[in-house]
Amino acid sequence: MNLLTDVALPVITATVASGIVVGLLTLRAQRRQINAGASAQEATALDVLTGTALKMVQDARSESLAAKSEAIQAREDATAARRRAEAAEERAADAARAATDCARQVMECSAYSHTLEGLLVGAGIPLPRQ
Amino acid sequence: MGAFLALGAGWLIQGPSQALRDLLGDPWIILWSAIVAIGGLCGLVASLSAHRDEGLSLLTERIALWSIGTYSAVYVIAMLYQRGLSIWVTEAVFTFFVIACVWRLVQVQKRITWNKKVGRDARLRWAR
Repeated sequence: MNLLTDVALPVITATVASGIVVGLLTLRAQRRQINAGASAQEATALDVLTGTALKMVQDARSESLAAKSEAIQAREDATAARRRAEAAEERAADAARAATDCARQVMECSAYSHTLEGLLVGAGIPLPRQ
Repeated sequence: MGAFLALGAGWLIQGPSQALRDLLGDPWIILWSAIVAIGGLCGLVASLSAHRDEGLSLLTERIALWSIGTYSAVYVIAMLYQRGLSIWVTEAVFTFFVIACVWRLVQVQKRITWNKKVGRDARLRWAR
């Protein structure tokens, strides 16, 4: 009895042939499952890409909004600073005007004092000693 | 794959060589010719559909590797059994061929299992 040709070869041949037949018979159903898996992977990859792009757009939009609010805040700060500068300038002008008035009044007082001194000297009244 | 297809088809049409008939035995050599021809045909289909239909490509490649790998293994075993190591170069070549087929078959089977699992777990986006 030849072990190879009488036992091993028929068993192996039957196994291989049945495997091929089973593989060919189940090809259509398995092909559908595999293609569904491949399509799901592609869809997942596209989903990830879409989600990433959407997140980038949202990030850019929120950054744009933040920059816009910062610009508005800066503009408001600049307006307030300009108003403060105008008020300070106005107060400085008032102070200069007041100083001028004071100086004029001092000069008038001084002139009036000289006039009084002249009158006192003309009337023979001695001036008070300092 | 084309070579295996031509080899199996040639055996089917003109009959296998006497040496091969002596090695594999008379009733099985015809079946092995058909197996080799189917394997070669499946390998060609796998190559042609690799970029268009992944499922068809993987499944036909599995059939091709299974048939050609087992044919090579049977051929090596038969040669070792009947002639020993007197034609060791041919035996080594077919042994490496068997190893390559098993290596690729493992990869293909992993890919098929992965794709099936992803396909089973996949849900519609609007159904989540």
